[in-house]
Amino acid sequence: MISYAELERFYEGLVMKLRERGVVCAITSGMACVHYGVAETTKDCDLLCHSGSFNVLLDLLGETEISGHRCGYRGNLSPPLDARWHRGGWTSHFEWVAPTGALTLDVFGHALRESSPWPRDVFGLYAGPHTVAQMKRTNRDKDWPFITALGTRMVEADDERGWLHVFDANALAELLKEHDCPPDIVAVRPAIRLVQETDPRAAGALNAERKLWAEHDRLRIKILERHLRPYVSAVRRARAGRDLSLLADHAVRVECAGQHLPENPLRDYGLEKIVAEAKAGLVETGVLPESALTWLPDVMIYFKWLET
Amino acid sequence: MKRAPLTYRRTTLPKEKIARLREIERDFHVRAFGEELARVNLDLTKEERHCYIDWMRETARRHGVKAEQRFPYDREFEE
Repeated sequence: MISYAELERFYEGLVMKLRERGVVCAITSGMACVHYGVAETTKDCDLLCHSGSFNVLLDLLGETEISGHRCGYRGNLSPPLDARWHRGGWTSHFEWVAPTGALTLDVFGHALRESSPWPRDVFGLYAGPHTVAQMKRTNRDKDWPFITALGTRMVEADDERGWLHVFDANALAELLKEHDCPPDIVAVRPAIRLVQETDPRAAGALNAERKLWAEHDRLRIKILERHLRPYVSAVRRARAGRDLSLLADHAVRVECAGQHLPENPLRDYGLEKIVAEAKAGLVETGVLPESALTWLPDVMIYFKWLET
Repeated sequence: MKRAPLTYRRTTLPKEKIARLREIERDFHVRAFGEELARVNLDLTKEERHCYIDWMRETARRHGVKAEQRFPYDREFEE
């Protein structure tokens, strides 16, 4: 098994090579959490890469081997590394199947749920904690303590955006006793006001936020999955079990995506509609009382990038 | 170095306040991750933390814990 230190060296080396070629990129997600001091047993690398440089990244992946094993797209499902699809929230997935275990690389042209362009929030070889925390607002329970851990550390480092990422009611209440939260942050996150006022509904409001993000993520995946089915069949037929080079496989995927994969299915579905359906679903299934919706923040700022 | 810095800016907060914020952070880590991981996150050096992650991965592998299948790209649709 490849050690974590080796994994980190490999992926950081990849980022350094890309930067030498003028590419704006940064490591994010689990490896970034480990970097910022929150241990996670990740072995995947999530990479943010400016979509204008995808060709450079593809060339580098094509020439990077591990113990003689070349890089390839992972399975048939991965959309192509192409700006047209990444602008709409698709992501691309690669792997090296080495004898010491597969190394996987997930590439994002946009940070999912980014409220501002991610290249503005890069710190060294890594995405800044604000971007990492936004990307972790998923439907996986295990991601949420990492978000609060990053948010707490950001508050400690006097980065006021950290207040947006603390989802633990006790931690938030204790932090607010020690440190002022700026009014503009309270204005965009109503649950903080409840905590400030020691309102008994505060914990419920924070939980409602989390449930909304999880439900939104579930709906997002459902919409994407629907469109992936015809695409994956087409890729499977076109590849016909052949062992293609990365660039040849890429060409196949671009061709199949052109025919079967809408570039921006979330925008086509309706970004506000997804949020409305997520809220309605939570109320209808009894996960949240309707009154809890009052305390939810406006989450549309996290999806503006899909409209441009 | 225990943890990578989060910002290039020097904090303007007084030491006492930072110490109290760190206590709150530690309490959260203990509640969310347990005492052992709280120590790994907050007390170990980066190199020690990496060794601990390797130990966790190896232990999981030995006990047959399957790697998480993240949606959707680690899975394939049925024909």
